[in-house]
Amino acid sequence: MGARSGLQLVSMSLESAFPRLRVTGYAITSPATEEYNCIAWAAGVNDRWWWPDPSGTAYWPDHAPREVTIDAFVTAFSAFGFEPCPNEVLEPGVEKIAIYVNAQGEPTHIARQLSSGRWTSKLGKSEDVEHDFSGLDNSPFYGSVSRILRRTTQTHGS
Amino acid sequence: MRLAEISTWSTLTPKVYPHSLFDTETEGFGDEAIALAKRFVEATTHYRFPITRQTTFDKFQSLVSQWKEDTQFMSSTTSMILNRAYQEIIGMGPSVIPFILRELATRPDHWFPALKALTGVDPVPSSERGKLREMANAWLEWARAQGYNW
Repeated sequence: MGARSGLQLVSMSLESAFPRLRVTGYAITSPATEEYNCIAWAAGVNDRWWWPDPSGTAYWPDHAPREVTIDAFVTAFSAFGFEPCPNEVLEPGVEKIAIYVNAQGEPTHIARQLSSGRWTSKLGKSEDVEHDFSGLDNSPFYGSVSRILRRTTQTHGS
Repeated sequence: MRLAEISTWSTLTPKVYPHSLFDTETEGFGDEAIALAKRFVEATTHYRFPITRQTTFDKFQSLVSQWKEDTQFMSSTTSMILNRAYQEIIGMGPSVIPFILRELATRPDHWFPALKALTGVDPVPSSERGKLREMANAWLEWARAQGYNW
């Protein structure tokens, strides 16, 4: 298969799941991998799957409750210096993350703001993409942004 | 791929179908043509390999493909496990353990809750939680010690 055709099929799949990406623009920035997810990626980790599953299969910080609630996610990230923030506007020296929730208010996804003002997301087991803030919003998979957190910019290993 | 070659897709087995489609040259095809070709492959596959003639392995492979497609954008392992295809795989019972082990050995994914449900054990140390390769290795090591072949 030609590389371009493969990329076209990946793009079709992404745009079908997240129709706003096509409108707002995006770039695929990594190959697909099952080794980490968006929650780990938001924390700057790319070798571990984070999720507060009750069975304890995935990694979840010890200090946070193992429950799929917005409070548990905020608590998990508070240990990494994140605190609530009123908006997604780019601020120099500040790193922001956006927590998405579904219609039941359960967290589904986290995106991390880059120093350019664009956002980076690991899409489940699929690729990493760089996208606009609204690129993944109101999608059937992730729902909408419920909470923005911020911290002083850290250096990521990846 | 050439349009004329589409008819040869009907010889594909269900277990290779979704991946072979993505390994196929589609340059110059519009979205509608690709969608139509996909439907054609699905229809011919179902015709040639009806569910009544599926082996346990065929059924397992078909459910794996379905599960992977359903969960490709999910971060929630809870939702992945609750997926219908995943639950069906667990429901197939211990006969699928070697198939799952083969999956773990070749393309690790979140098969750990299924193995836990089917075997009643969990050989993964808590320090390795979330590390897919390490978790897969822990399970494969355990399975070898139990005499499983895959």
